[in-house]
Amino acid sequence: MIEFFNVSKIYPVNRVALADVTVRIERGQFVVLAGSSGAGKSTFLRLIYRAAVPTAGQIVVNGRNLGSLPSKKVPYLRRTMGVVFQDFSLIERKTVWDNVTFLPKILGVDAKTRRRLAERTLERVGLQRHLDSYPAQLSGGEQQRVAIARALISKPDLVLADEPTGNLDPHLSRGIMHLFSEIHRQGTTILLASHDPELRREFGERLLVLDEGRLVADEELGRRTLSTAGAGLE
Amino acid sequence: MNVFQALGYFASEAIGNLVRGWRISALAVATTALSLFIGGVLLLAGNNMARAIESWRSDAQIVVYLDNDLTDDEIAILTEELLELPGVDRVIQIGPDQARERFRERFPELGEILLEFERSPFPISLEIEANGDRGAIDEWLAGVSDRPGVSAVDDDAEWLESLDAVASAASAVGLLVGGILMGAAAISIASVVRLSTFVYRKEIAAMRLIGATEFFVRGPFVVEGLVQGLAGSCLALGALWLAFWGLGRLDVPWFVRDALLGSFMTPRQALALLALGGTAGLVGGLIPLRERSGVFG
Ligand SMILES: Nc1ncnc2c1ncn2[C@@H]1O[C@H](COP(=O)(O)OP(=O)(O)OP(=O)(O)O)[C@@H](O)[C@H]1O
Ligand SMILES: [Mg+2]
Repeated sequence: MIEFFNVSKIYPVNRVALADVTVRIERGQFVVLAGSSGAGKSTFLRLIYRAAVPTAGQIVVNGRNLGSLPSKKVPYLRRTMGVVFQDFSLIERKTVWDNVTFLPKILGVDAKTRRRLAERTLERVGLQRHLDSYPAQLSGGEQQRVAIARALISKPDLVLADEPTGNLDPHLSRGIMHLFSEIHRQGTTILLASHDPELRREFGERLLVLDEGRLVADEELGRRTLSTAGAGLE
Repeated sequence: MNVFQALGYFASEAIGNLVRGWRISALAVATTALSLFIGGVLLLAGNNMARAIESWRSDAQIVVYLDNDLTDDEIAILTEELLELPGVDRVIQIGPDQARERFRERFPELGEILLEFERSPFPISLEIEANGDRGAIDEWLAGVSDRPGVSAVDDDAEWLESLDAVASAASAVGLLVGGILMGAAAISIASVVRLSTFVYRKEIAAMRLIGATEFFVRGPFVVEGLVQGLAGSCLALGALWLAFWGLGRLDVPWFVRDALLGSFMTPRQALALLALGGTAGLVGGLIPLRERSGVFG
């Protein structure tokens, strides 16, 4: 479902964010991305939703080569995935409710369905209150949960989450990870960047480790399968 | 979302933007209104002046003033000569007393001056009504001033021609100035909308990131521009009408009244003015986001 072929991303000037990464992520996997700060985790995710284009290499998502995707088609690519951004990227001028229902709204989902979806999703991230608050009136953890709810509301097949528990206390973090686990069990592919080794081990199926842009480890969690530096699968 | 829902959404977003940034929006609306007002004044003046010139042209006369010592026979010969010219419809002889009467009627407040004279101070004159074919008349007029007995010639066509030139110059300048002002209005709306897109750049990026098409990202800003343009043109139209009405109530000389206050715009012209403001707004709303329609949000 997601394939990287010798993908490199170099920001000007000579800032290597990703170096020659080849990897294949199957539909339905729960993949955790690890690596120290600056290792290239966010870059890896950004390339998948075309917020960045690779300097070299090819990326194929759901059979579509992103290199040949016209920019007009980018929104439609993004709609097929739910993304939790590291900086949340909430719409400041809209309330929690309007943020979460924004995409269903412009996609023409009727108000009743929108309401049902939003209520359920917000309840699952523990945000039944503050629905009329604006992002700036929320704590970091609350904003993060709005971002998660927004990513999950339309039940996408693929969820990309960049440090989705970075601002949450251990208890809430586990709750959110359980939520990801649950939607994963329903068949959603999950690609999640996380600093927390414990959560990674507990919830992930597969771990990708980046170091200075290189893929240095690729292991099935629980039992080690592959750990050759920079190697892709097959 | 269908088109109507989308337009409703754009409108509510745009109005939100306008309300939040009302000071700066008011500035754009005022610029547009001022531009359209000046353009409208030129249009009104041009229209009315052209219409006035047309109506004056139809009562235009050529008056030949004669020396008072000319005999009736001599006057009859001159009249005959004139009537034979192609293009002359009628020749009317105005005697001194008749001339004085006319003067009294036209300028009642100056009538007292005439009391000082025992006899009418006006010369005998021949009024020529021409029917537009001026070739022969012009030729005759060219030679007439040298003739004994003819003291002066007063040809309305001469000043109507200069007035015509002034009117067409005004129209041309009006068109040019109007064009420049509309450009200025579009640019000022564009700057306001650009400021909006700058203020909201993070959320524009956020919308793009979660899969909003350019249609949805830009729609509110285009509508914001449109609303500003339309508000500006409504304001201009209102101000024009007020000015027209207000000047109409003032005691202005008849030629000003004829030339400037003949009639207000036709509904079509008013609509065109509105459309012009709307267009300036649309253009202003479309420009800013063109520059940033990149892939990266
Ligand atoms: N827009 C950018 N312009 C220039 N350099 C960038 C840009 N984005 C990322 N980088 C660089 O690319 C490298 C990888 O960044 P990335 O954000 O992918 O790291 P990360 O693994 O997500 O780090 P963190 O855990 O701190 O979020 C870093 O050295 C960063 O400075
Ligand atoms: Mg990151």
